[in-house]
Amino acid sequence: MSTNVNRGKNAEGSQGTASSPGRPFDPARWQARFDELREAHHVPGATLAVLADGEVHELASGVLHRGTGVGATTDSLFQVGSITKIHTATLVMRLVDSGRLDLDARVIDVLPEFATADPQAGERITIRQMLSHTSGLTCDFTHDTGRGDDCLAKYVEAAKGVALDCGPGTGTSYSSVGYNVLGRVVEVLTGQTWDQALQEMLCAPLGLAATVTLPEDVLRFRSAMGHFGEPGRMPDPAPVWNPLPRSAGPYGGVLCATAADVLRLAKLHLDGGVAPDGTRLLSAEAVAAMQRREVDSPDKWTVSADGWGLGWSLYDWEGTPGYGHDGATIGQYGFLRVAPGTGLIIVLLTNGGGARTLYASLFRELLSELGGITMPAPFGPPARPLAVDITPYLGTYRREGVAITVTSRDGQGHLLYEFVDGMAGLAPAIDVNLVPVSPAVFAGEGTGSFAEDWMPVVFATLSDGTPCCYIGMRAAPKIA
Amino acid sequence: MSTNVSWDKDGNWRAEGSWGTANSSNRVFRLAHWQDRLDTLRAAHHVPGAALAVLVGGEIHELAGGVLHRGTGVTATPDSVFHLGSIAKIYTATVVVKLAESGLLDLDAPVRDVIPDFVVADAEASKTITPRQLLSHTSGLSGDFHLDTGRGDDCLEKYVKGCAGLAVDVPPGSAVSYSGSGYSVLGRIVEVVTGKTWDVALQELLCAPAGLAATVTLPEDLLRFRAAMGHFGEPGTDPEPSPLWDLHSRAAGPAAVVCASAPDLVRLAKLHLDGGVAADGTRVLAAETVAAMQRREMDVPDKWTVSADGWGLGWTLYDWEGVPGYGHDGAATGQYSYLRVVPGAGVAIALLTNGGGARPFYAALFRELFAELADVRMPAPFAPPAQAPTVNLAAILGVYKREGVVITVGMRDGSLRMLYEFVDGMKDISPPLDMELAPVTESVFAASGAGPSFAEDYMPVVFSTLADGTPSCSVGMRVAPKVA
Repeated sequence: MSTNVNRGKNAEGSQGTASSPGRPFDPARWQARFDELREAHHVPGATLAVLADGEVHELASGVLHRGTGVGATTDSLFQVGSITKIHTATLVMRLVDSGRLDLDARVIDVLPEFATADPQAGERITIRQMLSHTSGLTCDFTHDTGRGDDCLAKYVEAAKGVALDCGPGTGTSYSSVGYNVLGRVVEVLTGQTWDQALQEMLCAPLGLAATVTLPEDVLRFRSAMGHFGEPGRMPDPAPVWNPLPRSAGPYGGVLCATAADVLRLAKLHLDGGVAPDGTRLLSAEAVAAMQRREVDSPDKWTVSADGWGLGWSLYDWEGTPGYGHDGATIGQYGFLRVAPGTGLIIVLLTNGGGARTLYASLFRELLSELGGITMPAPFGPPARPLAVDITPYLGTYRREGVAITVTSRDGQGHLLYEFVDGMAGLAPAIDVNLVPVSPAVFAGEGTGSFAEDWMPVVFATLSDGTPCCYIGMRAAPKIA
Repeated sequence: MSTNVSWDKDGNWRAEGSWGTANSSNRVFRLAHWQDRLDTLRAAHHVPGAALAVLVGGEIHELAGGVLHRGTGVTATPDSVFHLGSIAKIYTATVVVKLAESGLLDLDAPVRDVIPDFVVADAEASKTITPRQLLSHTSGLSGDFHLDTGRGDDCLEKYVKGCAGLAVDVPPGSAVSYSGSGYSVLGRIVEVVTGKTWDVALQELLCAPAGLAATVTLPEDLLRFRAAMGHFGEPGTDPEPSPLWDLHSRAAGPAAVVCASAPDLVRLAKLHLDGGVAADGTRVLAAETVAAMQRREMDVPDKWTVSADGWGLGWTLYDWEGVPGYGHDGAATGQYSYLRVVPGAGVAIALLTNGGGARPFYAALFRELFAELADVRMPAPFAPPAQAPTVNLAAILGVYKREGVVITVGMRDGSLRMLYEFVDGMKDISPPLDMELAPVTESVFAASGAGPSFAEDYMPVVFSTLADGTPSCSVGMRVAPKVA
């Protein structure tokens, strides 16, 4: 728990502005604002949990499912998507704490069967690199290995032929595959399924009674259905509850929780690893290590990350540090933000519509009013057009399943993003103009499902000197 | 569709012929009245939530009341989906007979013809048991073999392999002895014949052509709907939500895990009433196949546990004072379902509940519905008569045994008692039940003192003789031969 905030009063010191009058959380006022913004952004239903003044406030708005009309309540479960990576990372750190796992051990030391398409590179990958998205493992290998308890073992086996985005340790490339491998590491070290280990090592001791991973357990609760639709109108229920397979578990395909339960997990970290009942679940060192910057994030916009720790996205809110994670499944979207300097935690879980813009509007107000924190302006080109020569970036970039081609038409940068090979047909190609934001950052114009406004396109160089293009925080090295 | 009932556009109906009352014209389905009865009886019997669908005059009426889950407070609606428990057997049976109709399966050839490595504890039975026997519960296969073979698509294949030690309680073909295990074997037969999981085959061969859009087998699919949670509690109190949604493992699916809305269940019944034709005219089953399912394969000596008079292929057959019917009961982790079809009246009724006094609720509500809509009188609740009949005790005293169960019938302190013990693999199910037996007829006894988990009032205990002459004792539709 941060110590430079007087409960409900004022904040001093490193947390942000010199003088930030801490306002008490007014539930009625925020409920009204939550309802209003949810409706305006066409989000069918949402829950919000806020830790402010040392107190947890829970709000809900809208419906869980526009077809059944069941109302959203604070005890409703939503799919939290990649926020699950924090659950998995916390489990891994518990194993590190107990001496059963070395952060800098190679994956093959724990999982001899682990391999990648490039055998030499694969052998070098460490646990730490997978936690911080620096392993070079690719992200989007969604592979259904069935409903059985052997799903992760089979997944690791099937991932053997998957190419790395970049060499281990040479750059940041957001990797869900890495988190599935971590999930399998948990299974091998505990002798349990990832689901059981999560329940026994985290949910039970932390009192997360409304955090589950299997659909038969979700049925005990009110639960949200994802929705799809065109921007600007209320979306319709998705055809299926969750198209992601069980083998997408440890990286964020299946975990469902209440907003308050996600908040409790974040509070464990805010409180230095101690559960509300006084049980120490993580050492203070492990908690600190998770928040320590392992690497900068070249793409600071897709999930607002300025850098990565072990699991955590690290934020820089105009000088005020924070950590958290975003999550998305097919039709449900979650957002977790922790401002340690002010002891503030905010969790928003939604079931479709303009979830991202709802998050941006609501969190901008909450962070500002409750923490005196200013979120960066939305991503987009500067008001005054910037002249940047696209020539150095022209060419073809490749990562597993994706081909990116940057061309110039009369000096205007242009980008074609195509799904190929195993991901061919996943979505139509994205064809955008590139508008300069800064010398190496461009805004893709009109990109549909990737971003409601502008898609960040970032050119960077890996530590081995290879130029690469970042889209969605995934690195694609230049091949031609 | 039955032809001896006619309805006019206002919903008035007239019935003629063998089933009906002499004067049955100008009646209607009184929706408000039945909603009131549903609400009143549901509350009286402490049933948290219920959905009711009634087919009369070719039309399906949908009602609901209460909540799906007392913890979340989500209300029950007619399109809410409940766990049907053993009514799943009708779905599996319908798919199996459809495969037979297509020539892909011979109901009278040994199971081994489809599953070459099918083995149970009895070598002879392993070779001879047929799909027909499994469908009609006459295979003799012990009924309650709960083997958790995981959540994967290989669960039934593993389950059937795990049956190698499964006992045969009575010789195949000798008696109806209710067997869920047999239905898991049938599910595996569906998989081998179709090359698909039972779940997928059910969707493709039955749900899709029959228009059953709110019928699912996997929890991830159930989450699209309002779904009921089972409840448990002491009789006479409002029960509490079950700690788990379902205790069945996936391998129990073909015997016990189908979830559906009440109107969807009645649509399945209507398909059978209409000779195999779905509402949109699609022929799902041949008329002969439908008739074969309703044809009596064997009589049932225990006419009370699930009200059965006999068994067809899947269907429980009823005899309501001379009026024939078919249907099935289902129970699953605090959810209880009832389906009854009166073919002569063109009536089908599905009641889905999520706990409490579901059985007396069903009995009270169906008694009223049957009397008004089909002129059927349901038998009185099972109980010993005021005047006890004289019985020959020597014929029944002794020890009876089936897989996991030993039943000892004897005299103690001047009264006839039955000790029902779970042994071997089932020893953890419950402590022994010590019950007093009161005679109902010479061979039927009413057991009392079993406790609310087993029977709310009297539990029927039926003594009969198997086809091979062995005396046996039937409790809960499971037959145990006499061993001493």
